[in-house]
Amino acid sequence: MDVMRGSQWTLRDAEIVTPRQCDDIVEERLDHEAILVDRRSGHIHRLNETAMGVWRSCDGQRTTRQIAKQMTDVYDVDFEDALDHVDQLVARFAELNLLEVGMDA
Amino acid sequence: MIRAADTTSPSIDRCADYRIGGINISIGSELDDVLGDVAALYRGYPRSGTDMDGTIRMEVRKVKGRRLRRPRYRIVGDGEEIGRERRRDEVLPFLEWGVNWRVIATRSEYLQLHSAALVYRGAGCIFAGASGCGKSTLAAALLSRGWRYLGDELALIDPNSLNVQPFPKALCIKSGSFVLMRRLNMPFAGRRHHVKGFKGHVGYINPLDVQAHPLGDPAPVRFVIFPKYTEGCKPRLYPVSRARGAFGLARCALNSNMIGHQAFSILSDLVRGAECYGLESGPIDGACDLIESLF
Repeated sequence: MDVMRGSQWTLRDAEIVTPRQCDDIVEERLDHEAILVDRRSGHIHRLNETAMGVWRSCDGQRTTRQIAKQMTDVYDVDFEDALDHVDQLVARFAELNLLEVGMDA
Repeated sequence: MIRAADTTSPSIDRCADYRIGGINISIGSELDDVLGDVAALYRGYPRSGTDMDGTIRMEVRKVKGRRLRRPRYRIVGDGEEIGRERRRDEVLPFLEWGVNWRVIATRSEYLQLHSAALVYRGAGCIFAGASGCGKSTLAAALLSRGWRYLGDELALIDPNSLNVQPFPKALCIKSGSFVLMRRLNMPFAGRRHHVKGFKGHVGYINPLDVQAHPLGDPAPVRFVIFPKYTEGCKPRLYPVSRARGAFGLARCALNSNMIGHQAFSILSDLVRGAECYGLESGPIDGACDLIESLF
């Protein structure tokens, strides 16, 4: 599995992308939202409910496709829209160096 | 022979010591009028001993300036020069700012938030936001309605109890609220006009001049409010999520760099026990009514 961080990575295939939370991120869950503290940069990020749902699914095991499928089980959204949201969020998390993105070739 | 230029004017050093909340402050100067200004701000506060450990020591000295040898006022905090002011009416605001600066630098046992804090019916209330959002004006108005005062600039959070600790310095009111303060019968201490850098004219209110028992005890934080003053708007109080509250408080944290990421878990724990609101404040009476309707 290749591991890349941040801007090195671009989404190519939802079947093989397995995003994983970086180790240096502290998560504080507050009701239905979450705050992420990046211990390396000191930056703080606030996630709303849906962003938190995606974030918590980024365990290095699930592909973005599987995460999107999971979203359709929770929210009233069709799969294509869900995948679009997940792709965008994962790309943004990676851009912020919150995620490492694995590629299962 | 000693030349006149090598001598300094005869002077007698004096100091005044106060206990503001749990923090001892010692102000030293040979200038009677500076000590008089400080005395007006803290008349009635407990006095502290001069040699207590952890005392913040401020000094104001009149020195000759380089250009045209006009006098300047040298302000020193804990032995370190923090500024030289040209104008006498800039001295007190700079001295007060210097005390805050020394508290931020030396009291890392607290998480420090740039916020006003008051207590009502035993519940701590934090008003957080950037300079100019109306923290001090709200604090003054609530104080005039019988709330207990903990501070208008720094909310000191004890990381263990999560209580907000009192640091009830004199309230600093900008000129835009002078008329309102007069309407609320809030007396300015000593001389009314001081100049605080780009903030312009300010006046100070000694809380003990407002009510007999204005100073609050440490209190658990039950409400976190983010005020935003908009002239003429209808006051509106609206709930915000705890995550948004914690995020907003993090932006007001002054020493999170010293505490590190633990600061954020302290803030998260704090908002878990509190309700968070945004406040669009226009007319002050309506804004205060809304806040009191939370209790």
